[in-house]
Amino acid sequence: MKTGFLIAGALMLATTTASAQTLRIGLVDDPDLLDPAPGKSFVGRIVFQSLCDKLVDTSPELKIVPRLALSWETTEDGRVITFKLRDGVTFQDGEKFDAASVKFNIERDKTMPESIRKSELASVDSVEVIDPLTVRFNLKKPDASLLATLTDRAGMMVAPEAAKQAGAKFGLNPVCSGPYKFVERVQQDHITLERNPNYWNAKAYFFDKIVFRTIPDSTARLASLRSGDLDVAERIEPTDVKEIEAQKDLKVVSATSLGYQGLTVNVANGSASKAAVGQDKRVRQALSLAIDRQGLMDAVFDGQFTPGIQAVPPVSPFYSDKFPTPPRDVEKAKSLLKAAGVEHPVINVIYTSSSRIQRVAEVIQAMAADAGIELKLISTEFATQIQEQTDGNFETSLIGWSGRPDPDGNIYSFYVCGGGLNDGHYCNKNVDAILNETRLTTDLAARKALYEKFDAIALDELPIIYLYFDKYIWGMTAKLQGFVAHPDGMIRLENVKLAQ
Amino acid sequence: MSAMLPYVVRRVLTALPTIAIFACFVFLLQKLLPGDPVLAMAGEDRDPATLAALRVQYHLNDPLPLQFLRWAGNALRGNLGESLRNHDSVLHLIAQKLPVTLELALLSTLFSVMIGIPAGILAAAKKGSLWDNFARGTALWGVSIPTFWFGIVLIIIVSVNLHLLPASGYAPISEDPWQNIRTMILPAFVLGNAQAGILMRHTRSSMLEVLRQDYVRTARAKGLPELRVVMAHAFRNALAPLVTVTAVLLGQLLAGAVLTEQVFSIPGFGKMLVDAVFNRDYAVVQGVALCTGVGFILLNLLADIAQLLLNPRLRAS
Amino acid sequence: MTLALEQAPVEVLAATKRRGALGKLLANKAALFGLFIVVTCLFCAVFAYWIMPYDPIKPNYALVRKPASALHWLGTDELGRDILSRMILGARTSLSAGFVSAGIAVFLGSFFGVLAGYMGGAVDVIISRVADALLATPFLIVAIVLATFLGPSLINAMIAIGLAAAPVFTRLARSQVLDIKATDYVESARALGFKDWRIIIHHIVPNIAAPLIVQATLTMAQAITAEASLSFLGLGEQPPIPSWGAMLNSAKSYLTQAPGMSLWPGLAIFLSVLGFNLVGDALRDALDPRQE
Repeated sequence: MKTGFLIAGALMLATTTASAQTLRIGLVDDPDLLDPAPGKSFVGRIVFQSLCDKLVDTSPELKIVPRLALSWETTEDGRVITFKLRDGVTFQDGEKFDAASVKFNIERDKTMPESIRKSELASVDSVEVIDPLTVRFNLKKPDASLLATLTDRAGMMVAPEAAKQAGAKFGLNPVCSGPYKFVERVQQDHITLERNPNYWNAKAYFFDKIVFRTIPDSTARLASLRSGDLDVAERIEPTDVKEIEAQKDLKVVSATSLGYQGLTVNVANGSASKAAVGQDKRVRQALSLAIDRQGLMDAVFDGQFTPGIQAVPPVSPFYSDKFPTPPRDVEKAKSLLKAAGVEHPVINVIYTSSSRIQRVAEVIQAMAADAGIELKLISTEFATQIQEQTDGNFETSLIGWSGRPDPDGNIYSFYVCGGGLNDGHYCNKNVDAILNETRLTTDLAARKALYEKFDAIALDELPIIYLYFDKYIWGMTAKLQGFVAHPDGMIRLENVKLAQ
Repeated sequence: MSAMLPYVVRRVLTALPTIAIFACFVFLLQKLLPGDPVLAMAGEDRDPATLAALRVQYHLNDPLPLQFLRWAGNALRGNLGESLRNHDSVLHLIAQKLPVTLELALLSTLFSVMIGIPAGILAAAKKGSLWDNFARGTALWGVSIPTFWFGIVLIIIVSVNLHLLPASGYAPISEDPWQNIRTMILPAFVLGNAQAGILMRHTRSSMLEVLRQDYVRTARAKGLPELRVVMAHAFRNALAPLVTVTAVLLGQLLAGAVLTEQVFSIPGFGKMLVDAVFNRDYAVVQGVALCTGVGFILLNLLADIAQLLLNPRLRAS
Repeated sequence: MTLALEQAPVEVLAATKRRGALGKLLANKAALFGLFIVVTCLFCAVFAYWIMPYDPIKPNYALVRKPASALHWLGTDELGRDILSRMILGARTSLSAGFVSAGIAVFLGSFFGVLAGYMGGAVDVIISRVADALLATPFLIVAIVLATFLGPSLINAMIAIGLAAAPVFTRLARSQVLDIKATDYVESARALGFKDWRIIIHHIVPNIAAPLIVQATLTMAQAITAEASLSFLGLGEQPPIPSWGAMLNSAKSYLTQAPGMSLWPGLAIFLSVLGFNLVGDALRDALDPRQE
């Protein structure tokens, strides 16, 4: 009896120590609600990657790849998409995943009061169950960006029964479809997930537990990585890269982000738009030319980030070679200002203070000064900045966008008249026509040509002066194998393991 | 002792309007902040219809007095509302973080007492000498070093370079007491160091006051050793005001040491409060502020009672 | 005659205090050291633009994060600016934060404290309750909310810090006034029919000034550190104007690569706070009439 216990005990100890692998990931912020429908935060999406599976996903080259949907067909007119679903998939509570679950989820995204996926799914009219493994999306109008939208929160599948029971409080105890299920959460501290043994691809996931820890201070986050209290830290500061690379037990993996940082100009939103910079595109062009983007990268980011003037980064298939980033030209800037009749404009710039953005602001302030432009820097905090933008209380706003796989996600809502994210109230009917057309076809070449037409206008009128594209930089223990960097900044744990 | 009871009751009763004013004040303060909480919650995507619906749902369009009364009414019944950001009950959030903050506050106060009081006694006993300056210097440097910076320096030296203590990874004392202590030592030291200066000053001035008294001169004249004079006679009588000061310091720590918690990744009140202010999460700010305010006032009351117990002469007034 | 009688005692007392105080002050070495520090900081703050060797604001990408050298005695920061120049200009910000915040706290707080102590009754109760409520609110939170509400700028940060620190003076002033109210001076002055405000100005204020001044120096020190904390959160003096706190905050990101960057602003904050504290301690020791 006793020996039996001893052996059992020893075996248990052996198995638990051998397989009790926990991956500790350091996040920059605390995720908001762990529910894909109302979810708003970037870091929330990182947690969702492991917690909730989705219909389709993006590859590192930004191609749409199957996930819970194995294949899809779009009709000629682009108004019906039929998905064939993966068989044998269950939610984390055992409920079966089928076409009815997809219908439930899309309708939840569209109708739940707190859901902010509504505008993303605006083109979807109805979802039909054809058979348990076939689901049909009927669209109001063709939407080439819909598939890309379904690679994110709008396409994530939560367990219908659990969602119905929990209602708005589902996010406190989410039951989803991913490789890891929710265990516990301490706000602003950590989120623990554990392995879902019934996941359809469970063998590709090697960790038993994932712990996401929130450590906003970048120095503290780096210190935790270096001291071994974290295995992976996201969004490492570019100036820390050298330090990590110097450690033998750590390494750096990076990918150029889909998102940009730029100056949004108030061209028509209230009285503040009457300033010279809002009224005359020559002033905006001068400002853009006064900035040495590569110099900005070298000074603030050790040259790690990518300068840019288009809405999409060079990695995007929609990036146009016809509009390269121009070098700095102070003389041309000065002559533009002279032609516009305002040689020494004073321009307000609002921004959310963070050490990184602070430096960017100071550097462009100094650069603009060389061309005779005085930038008044007004630091604020995020909530206020968003409010000021919405209210039109700004001349320019230094703000970024985390980026979407489809260029539509980086452009549409910012440029169309009355667009939801168009705080500068830019309005040009020609641009609207072009952007609406880009949604009608899925042909890459055709869309690219349309976006080039858009670029020609946007880069002349400059309602948004793009500065640079981030890079997502992950620091991690050198023992971590199989980590693939994606331009959307997400951490995908398929085939990732810790070498022994 | 029974004479204390009416005193206690009276103090509690006078504390109530203070708490009410305090709650009102905090409410007004955050409503003054520009920025729509719903917009702040929205993050990147903003759909006007959704935002409007959310405002109605959370009664954010109601006139301010009505919002406050609704909150107050609920609070009296034990319902502190929900976080706008993640629908978690404020009471639950407080229950999660209160033990952490309490532990940090107590440990920090312990450090400040261990550093500040001996320094103050030494400074007073050896007034004007090098020891006085040394003791004062030691305690003062804590007050002048910004905690966020000192914290990072300690993390780099102790965690990253020496691998003596973890840089993060707080665990509750009920789950893993060893890890808990390991993660709390540095932040408690940083905070305690910062408060030690204040305690040192008060100890020094209180001791100086006492050391001048006649009975001390008498004790010295009797030929008692200096150490005994200082510790047994002087210190005991200097203790009373120190209790008040310590209680005040402890009370202030209850609000959470915002920056220290941020740097050491300790999930306490301070960080939650600041994040809630930045996110315009009204219910959380109200709830936490109420909690810390009540705690502070209670501590003051306890300190006053302790002072009365320690110094019978004060009871006469 | 009565006028002379009324003023004489106060003047005599004040004169004795002054002679003794100055004498004591100058004899105290620690106080001298503190005074030296404070005067140096003041000098830097006032004459900053005359004594700075380089432009503290314009970035210079070629000189990013250079260590100390003959050209740049303290090295350069993350945007290539001379640290020494930024430190000198930073004195202006930090000292303003110290003086203005403490000034607001002393005058506002003491005003209400004297009012409460002197008037008594309902006025006292109301003022005390409000002061207690304000005191119960954590200092940094009040400062953060006010600074966010008023907008990020040095002036608003100073107002915020001053308001948050005021209740301490209210309590202090009130208790001092209560002590003095019972003395013979005030009783006899009242009996002689003198107006309240004259009593306050001539009798009460001079006698409560000492502890208030001492507390003010401590508040000045706290204000300097508070300004540093507020810059950590992005509120306070706005770039590109340097403040020691903001410099410390930026330097934090480079602690392992360029530790020198943190050393100087940290030292500056420490020394200035120490200086104010030493002067405050010495003032208290000197002005305290009960000292032998």
